[in-house]
Amino acid sequence: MDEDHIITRTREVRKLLAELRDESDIPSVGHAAHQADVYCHGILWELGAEDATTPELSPDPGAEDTDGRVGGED
Amino acid sequence: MRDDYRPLYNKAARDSDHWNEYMETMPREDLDQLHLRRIRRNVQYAYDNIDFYRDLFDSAGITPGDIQTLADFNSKVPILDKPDLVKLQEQGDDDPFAGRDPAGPEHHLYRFQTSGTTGTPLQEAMSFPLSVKMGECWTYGFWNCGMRPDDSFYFAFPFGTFAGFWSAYWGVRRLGGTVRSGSGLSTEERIEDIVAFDPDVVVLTPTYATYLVETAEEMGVDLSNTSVRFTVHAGEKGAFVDSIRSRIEDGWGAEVWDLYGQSEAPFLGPTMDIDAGGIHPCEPYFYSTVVDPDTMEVLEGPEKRGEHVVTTHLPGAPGLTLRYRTHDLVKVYEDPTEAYDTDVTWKFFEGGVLDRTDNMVTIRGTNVYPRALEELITGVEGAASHYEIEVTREKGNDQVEIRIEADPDVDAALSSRGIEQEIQHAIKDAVGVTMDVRVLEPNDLPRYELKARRFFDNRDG
Repeated sequence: MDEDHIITRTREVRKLLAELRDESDIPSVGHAAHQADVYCHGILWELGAEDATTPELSPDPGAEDTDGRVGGED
Repeated sequence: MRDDYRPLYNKAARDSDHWNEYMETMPREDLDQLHLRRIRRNVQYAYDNIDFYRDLFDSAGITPGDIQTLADFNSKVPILDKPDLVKLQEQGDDDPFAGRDPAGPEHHLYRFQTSGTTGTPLQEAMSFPLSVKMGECWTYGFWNCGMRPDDSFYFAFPFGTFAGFWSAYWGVRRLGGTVRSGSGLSTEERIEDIVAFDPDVVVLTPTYATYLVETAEEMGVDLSNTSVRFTVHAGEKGAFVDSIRSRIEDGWGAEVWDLYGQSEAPFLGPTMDIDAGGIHPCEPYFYSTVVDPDTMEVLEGPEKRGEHVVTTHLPGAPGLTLRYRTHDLVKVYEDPTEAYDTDVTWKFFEGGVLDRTDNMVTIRGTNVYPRALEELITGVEGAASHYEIEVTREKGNDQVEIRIEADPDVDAALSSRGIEQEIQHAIKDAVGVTMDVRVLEPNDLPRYELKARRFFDNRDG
């Protein structure tokens, strides 16, 4: 899997995790989704494609992606 | 183990020589572009949200929009020192983080503080994502030097209010290794536990590593015959002092690994090649420049020696630190292939931290950095690796006294006076001045489980 594909899929996962985090009434589920999102943000960071310095500051995952990857195709 | 159990890593990942080849081999031009993007984002955040930085920028007559290039950043943003961070901390009244931590206390997972031995302790808070990223700095080096998730790590130190080795734990957690903590055990109990547990890696300071070897010998235990393949260190220069490194390698029968870090700006530079003789600043998280310690001008060129100024890309407290002077003297290669054979593109600090600019002493007109003496004094036959250097001032002149223990295995024919003279001659030959040297009996000096206190600057009192 190349870096661009990893980035695309990770952004998709973050959107799914945001849905779980924001809409689940079960603390166990919501916090697990938050922690999983931290690692997803880490994936984007490690590829230079994060949209915010820290996941808590990330824009609404449903918003249009604005940051491309350094050295990437976009 | 069931054969349908999912492994931690797929085969291709497990066979990789790099933890993250994409980032580790990124061309310099792209790395600098990434640094600039992360710096500009943090500059804007700091200006908008942290009064201290807004005041700093206002006093310098700049706004975030003035930072268009790394050269702009390096020339326009003032350099900060530790008193500035204390001021920043005090600005927050009841909140020691004063807006530095964007996520807020709800996200604090760990609270630490610096030792305060040189002034007001700095408060630190780590969120979960920050702990993951700080751990990842260690994991980059662990993986590249051959440590893997089926390795077990023995932590031979007390977990306390100091962040240092906590982040090593986060690094092992990120790797997927097995952790055994000897935190609550005595030195003798730790040695017995290491023998019983068979760890692959032991995490501890260089000073404590040599102390464990000495204590094990007294117990009749040869640590070089244990399962330990690596000793992992931080907090002291010892791992890059040849004589001390050799003692650890021989005593443990292991390879010596080191990581560079500093509490005031929690940046970390791992060893990426066990034989490289230096460390790489972990560039995904930190932007490093080197300045002339006298003029504070950024030094240019492929290879230079000066004071390390660091900018963190990480949020949290005390993260998001712009242009912080570390007082660490380093020799930097912009292109690490100029220093050793590697495909890692991150900058390279040969020899780790060479000394501290605030430790410099002037003896009869000669400037001397005490850490430069470490290799000389611990390399003399008959001298152990436990020593202290004390600086005082008499009639306007700096005076240095070196106290060093005799090696317990020393040949009886080597008298204390003879060792003292050997050390004095070595120093005189290297730096041109004579210093007072006193050889002590073995075990006369204190032992430390964490960072050893070697340098005593009593010039003001």
